[in-house]
Amino acid sequence: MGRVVDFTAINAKIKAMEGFWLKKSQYKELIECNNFREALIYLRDKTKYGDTLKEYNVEELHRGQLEVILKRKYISNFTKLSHFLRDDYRKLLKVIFTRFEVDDIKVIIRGKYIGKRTEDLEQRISYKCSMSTINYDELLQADNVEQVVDKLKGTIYYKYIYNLVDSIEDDGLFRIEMALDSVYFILLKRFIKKLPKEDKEVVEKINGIQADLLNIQMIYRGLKYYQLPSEILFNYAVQDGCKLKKDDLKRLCYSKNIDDFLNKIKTTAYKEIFNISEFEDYLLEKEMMAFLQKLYTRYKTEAKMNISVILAYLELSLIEYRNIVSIVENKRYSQHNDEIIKYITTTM
Amino acid sequence: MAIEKMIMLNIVGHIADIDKVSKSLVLSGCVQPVDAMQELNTTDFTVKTTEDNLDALLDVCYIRPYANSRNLSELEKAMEKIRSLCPKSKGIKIKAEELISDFSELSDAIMNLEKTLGQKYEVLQNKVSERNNILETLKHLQFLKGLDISFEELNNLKYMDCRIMKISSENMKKLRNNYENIPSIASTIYEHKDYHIIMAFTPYILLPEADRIYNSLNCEIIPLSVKEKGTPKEIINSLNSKLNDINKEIQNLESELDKEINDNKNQIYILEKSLELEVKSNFIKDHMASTNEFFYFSGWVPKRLVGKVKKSIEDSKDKLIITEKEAHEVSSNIVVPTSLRNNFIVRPFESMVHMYAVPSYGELDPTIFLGLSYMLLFGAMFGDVGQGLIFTLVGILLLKKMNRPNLGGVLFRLGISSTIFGFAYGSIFGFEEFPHFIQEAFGVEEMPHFFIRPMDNIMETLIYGVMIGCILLVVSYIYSLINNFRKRDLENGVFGKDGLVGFIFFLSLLAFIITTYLKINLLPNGIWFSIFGVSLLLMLFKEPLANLILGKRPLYSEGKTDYYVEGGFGIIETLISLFSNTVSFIRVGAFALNHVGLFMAFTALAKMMNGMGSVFMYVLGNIVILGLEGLIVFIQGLRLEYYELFSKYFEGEGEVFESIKVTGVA
Repeated sequence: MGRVVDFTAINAKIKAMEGFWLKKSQYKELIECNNFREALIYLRDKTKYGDTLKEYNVEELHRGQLEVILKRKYISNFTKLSHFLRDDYRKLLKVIFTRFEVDDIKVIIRGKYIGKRTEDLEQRISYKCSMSTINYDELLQADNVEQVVDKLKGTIYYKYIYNLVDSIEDDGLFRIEMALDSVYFILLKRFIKKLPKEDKEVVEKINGIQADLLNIQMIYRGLKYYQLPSEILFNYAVQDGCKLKKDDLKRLCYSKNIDDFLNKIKTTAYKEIFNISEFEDYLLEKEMMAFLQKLYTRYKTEAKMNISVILAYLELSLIEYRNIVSIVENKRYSQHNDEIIKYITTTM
Repeated sequence: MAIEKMIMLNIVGHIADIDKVSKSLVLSGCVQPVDAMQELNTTDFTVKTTEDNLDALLDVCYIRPYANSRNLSELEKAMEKIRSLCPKSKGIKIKAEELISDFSELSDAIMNLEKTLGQKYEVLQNKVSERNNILETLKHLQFLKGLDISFEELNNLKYMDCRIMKISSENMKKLRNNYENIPSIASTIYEHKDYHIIMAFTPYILLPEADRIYNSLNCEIIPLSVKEKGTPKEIINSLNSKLNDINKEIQNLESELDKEINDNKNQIYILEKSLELEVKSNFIKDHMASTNEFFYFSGWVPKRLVGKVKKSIEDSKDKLIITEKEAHEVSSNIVVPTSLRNNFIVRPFESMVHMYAVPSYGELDPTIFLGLSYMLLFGAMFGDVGQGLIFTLVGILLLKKMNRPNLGGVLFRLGISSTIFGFAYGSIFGFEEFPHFIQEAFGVEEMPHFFIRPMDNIMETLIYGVMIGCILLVVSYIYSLINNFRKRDLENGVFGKDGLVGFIFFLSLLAFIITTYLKINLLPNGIWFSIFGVSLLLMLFKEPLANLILGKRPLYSEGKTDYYVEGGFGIIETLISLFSNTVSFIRVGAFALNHVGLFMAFTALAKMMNGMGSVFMYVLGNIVILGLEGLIVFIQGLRLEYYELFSKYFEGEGEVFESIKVTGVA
């Protein structure tokens, strides 16, 4: 009974919000637009994104701005949903929110590092909302990375990065960014112990598969492009995988070269990502997304009375935004329509 | 009594006096500034064309809002800092003459004080941070307490690098999992829930690789840059003695700072208030208009305080042109603020009026009616000598001790009313007939009463309730008539349901019911019904009728059909609400009964027990009645006031009069 009380309202709300997604036919029509502007106008006039885009002049919109607009839309939906939840579930969303907040912090830190103007940075801020735990105005006022870190004092992020300011000189922002990225996983791991068993399993699975895929992506790139030592690959890997156990992960990290890695992958559950006939490096991310999309869609259709529907909705929305951005970006560079389809997860 | 008459005060003066005048106005404490530009634009700002005023008149073409050049934010920041260092000063009273009115003097004084205090504070802070550093090192040294080797030895190993690091528990797990691939010996020397402290020995030759690995694990090297020599234990001892010295120094510095603050207590308060005066006078200046030579101020002042304001600017009176305007002379674009002023008996009830809305300037102040009727209703519903006295006491307590003049005042008055009704009903702490032990002890059998006992006369009690309601409704109709007359609202005032026709309908209906009930044949039925019919028709045709009389066209402001459909339902609604408004007051009687009934329930319980048990039940019953029933009656009374009565006559679209003043200055 309790579960029904907790989830009926939000699941119904989500059903309604799913109606905002593009339908397959709309994807097709979007891809068939002649150019970048036309695609934006299509989004404005023919899809549910119209309400959001109406506030902007699409004639002057850049692709980067579209991305920020979509992200802002996403986070406003995110906060909206949090009102439908109570207690621990709402806290769970807060933990998940750190993932996005970290993105903004990274934007600010990187902006300050390369000396971007504050006004420009302000436009790139995407996730400012009622759930924010950081003071954007203060952070934006900082003159350099050190001040940003200093101004994060009192937030959950401070203790993970306060000692890394000195490393900027040698390693750039690498270590700070890595540390910030890990915050979400650490917090989530600590938090899910409080959830009911059923929800805990869902979160563990979704998060685990995400972590596995991120690890694979990192190891692949680390091996191929940066020749990182295996120990470092291992140390930066996220440990709470789902289908890659500790030993699997270690084996992958200690691959001798990229071929060795690809061979090892074949023995794991993730072989299909690298399996497709025309695999290219630049499609790795899309293949990962497609893999995740399958998982989320399954949760969506099962529509159980637990946290899975919410998480699936949130992640699927993100994937949708990525798809839209991909299409529009391709339009921007006048790619051929058949080529565009490769970059999006929806099959035509 | 009632709503205070307001006067619009216009002052024109030389710009050199602007500071002085605006400060005097703040200190007088009874002026609410109006945007002078607005006042100038909407009305004729009358300045007599005499030779004396010629300069001002010439200048009038170049009027603009006064541009304030003083930036107070820095001073406010400094003051904020001073305040944060000082404990809140209480009980200091200063005179208006003590305030510093010269701006540069004030800003110097504040800045100087901030500087001296700030410097002292900074020295203190430095010491504190030094102490914290030592404490930090000591904390780290605790990890090594057991070591029997001196630091020089550890720091000067020939082939090995030795370091102590803090590592998060998550990363420690990774380190353990991959231990076989790490080029150093690492062992945990301290374990915490969130982190581990490890000591790692690495050959110098492998140091870069190890560094990279530790970096990727986000290890934090704990600096053990101790100048002292010796084993950890020895160092701990010497640091501890150093800590003692610093603690003493900090104590000295703290008492020095405290003394400084204490010596300057009065001065600080004066500065604080002077700054407040400056800020508030800036607020007044921001509402002023000015030309190159003159400033123009306009603001509202309650009529009885005009003299006080004038007196406050007496010094520069010769150089000022002061004109007064009655509220009705001012353009209707400027809202006249409302200030309620009532006698001692109903004053606390002003807060209950404000809770609903602020009466507009032209309206009758409903406070006196609300206050008296609310006391009556509450008393009637909650009549009890003992419990009433408890409310009175609580009211006094809130009033005197807890500084809640409104709540305390209301409760005090309600308590008295309840006590009076308690004598009327003959009830003390719920008892009408006393239980045996009291009968034996005091020899009285029952509480005397001089009106009725509700439970013995149920029907009468209920009818009395409705009668009270009818009387109150009649009064609110009269209020409504007066308000509508003041607004010159013919449509609602004469033909409306709360207007004259509605009133006649209500009265004739009452008369009809009473005469029929008492079987008096005052008028034939036909006449009664024609009175009802005519008044209902008049209400239905109120808009066209009013427009006909006033000669306004078109007759209907909206479509004809819309008007009649709406009007038709309006009539039905009027009939229903008239009925429900009246019957609603039955609750006055019902709660009087309820009050007795609730106590009867507890009496029954008490009778089932004996000795202390029954006394306990009586006490519990009283507490429940005081808390629960008291609250319910409070709310129900409020409901009757707000819904049944206010809706008849009170619009409440006014704005509160808020004068600019500095508190705490005599």
